Amino acid sequence: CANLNNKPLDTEEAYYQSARNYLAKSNNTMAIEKLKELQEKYPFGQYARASSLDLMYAYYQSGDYSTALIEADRFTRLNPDHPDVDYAAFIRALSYFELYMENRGYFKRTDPSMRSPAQGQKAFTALDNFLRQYPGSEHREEILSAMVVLKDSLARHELIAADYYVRKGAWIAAAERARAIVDHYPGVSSAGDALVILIEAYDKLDQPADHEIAMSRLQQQFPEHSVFASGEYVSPKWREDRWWVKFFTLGLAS
Amino acid sequence: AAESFVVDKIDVQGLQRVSLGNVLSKLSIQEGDTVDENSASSWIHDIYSLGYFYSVDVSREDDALIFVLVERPAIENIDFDGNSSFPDDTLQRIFDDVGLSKGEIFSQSLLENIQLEMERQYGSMGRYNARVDAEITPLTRNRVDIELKITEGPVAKVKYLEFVGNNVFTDIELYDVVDIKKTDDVAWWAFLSSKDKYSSAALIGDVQRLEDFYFDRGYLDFKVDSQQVSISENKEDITLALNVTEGEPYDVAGVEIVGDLKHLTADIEALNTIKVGERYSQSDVQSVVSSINKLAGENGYAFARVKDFQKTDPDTLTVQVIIQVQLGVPVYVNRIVIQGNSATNDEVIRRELRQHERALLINSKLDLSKRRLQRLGYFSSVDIKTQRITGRDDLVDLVVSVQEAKNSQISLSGGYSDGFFAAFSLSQNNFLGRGLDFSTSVSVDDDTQNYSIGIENPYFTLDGVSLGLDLYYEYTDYDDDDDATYATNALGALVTLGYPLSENQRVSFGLGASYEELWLDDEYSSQEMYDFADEYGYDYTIIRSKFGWSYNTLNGTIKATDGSSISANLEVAMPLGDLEYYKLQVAAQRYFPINDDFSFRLHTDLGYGDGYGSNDTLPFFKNFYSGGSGSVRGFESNSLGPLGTSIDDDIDASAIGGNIQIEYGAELLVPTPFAKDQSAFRTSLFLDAGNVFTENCSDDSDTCVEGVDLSEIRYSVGADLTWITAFAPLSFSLGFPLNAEDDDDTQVFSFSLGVSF
Amino acid sequence: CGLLKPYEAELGQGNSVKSDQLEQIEIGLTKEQVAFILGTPMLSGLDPEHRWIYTTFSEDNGYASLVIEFADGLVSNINTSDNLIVE
Repeated sequence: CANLNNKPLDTEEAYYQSARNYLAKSNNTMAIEKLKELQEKYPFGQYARASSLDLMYAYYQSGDYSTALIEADRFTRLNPDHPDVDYAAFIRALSYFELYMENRGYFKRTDPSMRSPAQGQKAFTALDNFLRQYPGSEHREEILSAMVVLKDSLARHELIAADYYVRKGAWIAAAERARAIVDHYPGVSSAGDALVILIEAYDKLDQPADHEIAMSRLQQQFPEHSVFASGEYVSPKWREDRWWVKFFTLGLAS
Repeated sequence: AAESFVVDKIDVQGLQRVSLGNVLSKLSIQEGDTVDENSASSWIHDIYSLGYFYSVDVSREDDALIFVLVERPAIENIDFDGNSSFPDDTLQRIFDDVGLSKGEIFSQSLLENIQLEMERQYGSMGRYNARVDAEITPLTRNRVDIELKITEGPVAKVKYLEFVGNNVFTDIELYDVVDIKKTDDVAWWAFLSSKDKYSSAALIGDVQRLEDFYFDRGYLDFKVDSQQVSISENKEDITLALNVTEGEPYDVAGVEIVGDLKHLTADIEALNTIKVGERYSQSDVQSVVSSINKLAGENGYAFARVKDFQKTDPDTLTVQVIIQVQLGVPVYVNRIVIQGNSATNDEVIRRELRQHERALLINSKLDLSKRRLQRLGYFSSVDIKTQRITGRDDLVDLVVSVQEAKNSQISLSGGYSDGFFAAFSLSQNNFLGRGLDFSTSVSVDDDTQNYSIGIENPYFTLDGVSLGLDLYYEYTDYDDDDDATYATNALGALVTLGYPLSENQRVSFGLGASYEELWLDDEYSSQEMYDFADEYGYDYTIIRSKFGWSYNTLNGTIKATDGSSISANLEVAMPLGDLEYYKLQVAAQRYFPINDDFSFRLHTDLGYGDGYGSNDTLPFFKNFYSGGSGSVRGFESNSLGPLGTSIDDDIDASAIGGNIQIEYGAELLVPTPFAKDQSAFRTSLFLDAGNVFTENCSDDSDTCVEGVDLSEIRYSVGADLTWITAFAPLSFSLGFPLNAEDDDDTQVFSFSLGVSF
Repeated sequence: CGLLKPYEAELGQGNSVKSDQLEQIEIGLTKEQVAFILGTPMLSGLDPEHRWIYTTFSEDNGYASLVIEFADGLVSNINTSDNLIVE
């Protein structure tokens, strides 16, 4: 067909090989450069698709997750039936996950659930879709563990918002946030604390029937929750503020 | 008839870039179907519709179908030249959206209709001579380069503009109403303005302005019958004639508010300010409509719809005004989703919001929340949107999206010049993403040790009671070769407690103590300084209390364009300490937004200080100074005001400041030219004015004049550019003094780091 | 010195119940009818199948609720706490 280029095959081959070497030496920036040149010079070469897969991997490894995402989407759009399209979906899902993890801040020590959950939710859906589409994928374990981390973190985000509304005295908002955990994130560690918030909220909102339901669920699912430490339920002293600690730490600790 | 047969194999050749899957999914037949030959044309049509192929043909070899496809070339590069009114990246985006971008497949038809579209756009911008040509150069390996050659041609100017059929209002009155001006009507200074440039969009705008003008005066039958636009031969001059029929003015016959007003009936009716019998005015009706809308929004009817109708009676020239109010249902907020904050904790944003989850949606609370977030100074942009929830007409989610500005001011320096020195300073107003104001600085060298730390938690309690602590130790053992006029060493601490008095007002109380040591130079210090030291000694313990009141409705910090702020601070050195003085400072500013790009600002800084009890004057090292950036630009910093009496004849006196400060000024905020990201720059043209005065001159001074003398106020005009970098806002200003006296130290260019806002 | 009272922003929580709405609520209504009259309950509770809770809040007299119980889909019981805020 028209594309029989007369140049020696190796220039394309040479680009691809040198890119692979850089990747092997995990010199991602150089690998990205070579792969981009390869894509521009030989948009139709036999390495066009393979280089796109390597490119998204290189972006991912170099920490440029948003570009890795774009590259993965482009590959999936152009080659819906390519045998390695699951790899692109894998990179896409993990890139969302890493973007959410940027919430940890520069020193990677802040709890990501303290900040925006938006990327986390996208990551969770992407990982979930991946598992549904490729149940047998060899990345299954890695994906499952990422999903567990995400589920726990997104639930903790709800708890943090609920805790704010508790301290603010906005009991309905606190109850609904706690309910979101109980409904959408069953089995996460913070579900126990969510039930405690529901118990307290329904008490403050004078709803004995719901108070009882929440109490019985807590007793069944989290019998050793700290509120039962002394035998039966003792409502938590809401982060009892030791005023002198609070004063001298300007309210940062209490 | 063509016989049908069972296809046992479909073979597709010539695919390079497009995948087999794309083609097969388009084909309506699969292997194993029974097909007949004459439906070949529909298969070809299907594949063509993909748009990727230059030619498609199919042949049959016994029971196999062979499709031979030739892909269209891929685009190697697109560049544009000659486009001045469309910047390259806008063109790039238009081409990308349509799919004509690098690496995509080239389609001639797409290119042609883009060219037509661009020429049409130019026409509507008044450039009738514009021509867009495209040059396609094929490259090897089935690729093409596209070069767009654009000749925009001149913009046609409105040479003649006239109104026909207006007898109630004269042409001159109507010229003021319309935006388009005749070329010779454009004021000389507005040479940059494009008011005389013709464009169909501008004309539509003008017809609307004319209608508003007449409707506001009761001429409900007013109509612009026709517009004659004629272009001269060279397509540069336009004559524009607007034929209008004015009709007669109408009076209001009655006002009817229809719709289910629920429990707001009385309040809504009270808003109706239109009086029967009065001349009808559209703007009055619209202000009633908007006040009803606002009232509905305040009561949870966020999606209320209020529309006004007119029933005119031409015989009696009266009009029945009908205001239709559809309150709809009370709308509640379900959840508030905060996004974009990857370095700011959720609570730091949520605690500024005045609208909460599971509560009635109140519009004014949203505006207030947005303004409070902007005032934090942590974000370069803040946006709050409601998002309908499918299947629920009375429930919405709120999406708060912020863009974090990196505005921590960090600087680190060190080295060895004539002695080892190291300096580190960090100040951040969103420390650790917890919304803390934190600043610390250390600078150490052979004879100086300066340490300072300042932390303020604006939310010591959830309701905004703030607690702040400042500790500082500044020690330098001065010797006579530093040519400073005086210096103070200090060791001290200050605790401040503040809380809100209302949505926009705060008060603060501070208590602090410091031990200060004065150092005077035997040549450069002035006589006044030595007089002070003789009387009060060289070291003092000061016990100070501070009272602050502030009012703030600004919509930002450095980049504010609306709202105002006033702050009054009183510092009292109390009798417990060695010095007794008080210092009052008042700063006020007000923004007057003109439009999205321009805003006008008035500001003033006033100060007064005096001694009491054992001190009869404000200690000189607590004096106000004037001049320089943040004060009166165009003059050297701190150089204005009374001069000290020098004790060494061949050293000329330098400014010693005063106990009265009067500074004011005006600023016009303008868009920063050539700046891509306007949010990173602040450009303004300014008029500064001010000076400091003193109430107690030393008897040996012959230049000092006691009391305020307004003729001594110095003025300057100039321009200022502040670049908000990731590390610190840098501001460069050119200030031209207007009434500098000969012994004033002027400084046209000044540069400052970390402008205070 | 007399500490001026710190300002607390108005909280805002729960449903707004109108007197004419309250009059329309009666035994035997379906859930759709209740939702049409009173809107969505802000406090969803743990047993929405049998109980809808419309809670009102005001700075002065705090939280109060109108609880509507359902038996096989129809309103079976209505109880209003005395300090329910009704506009």
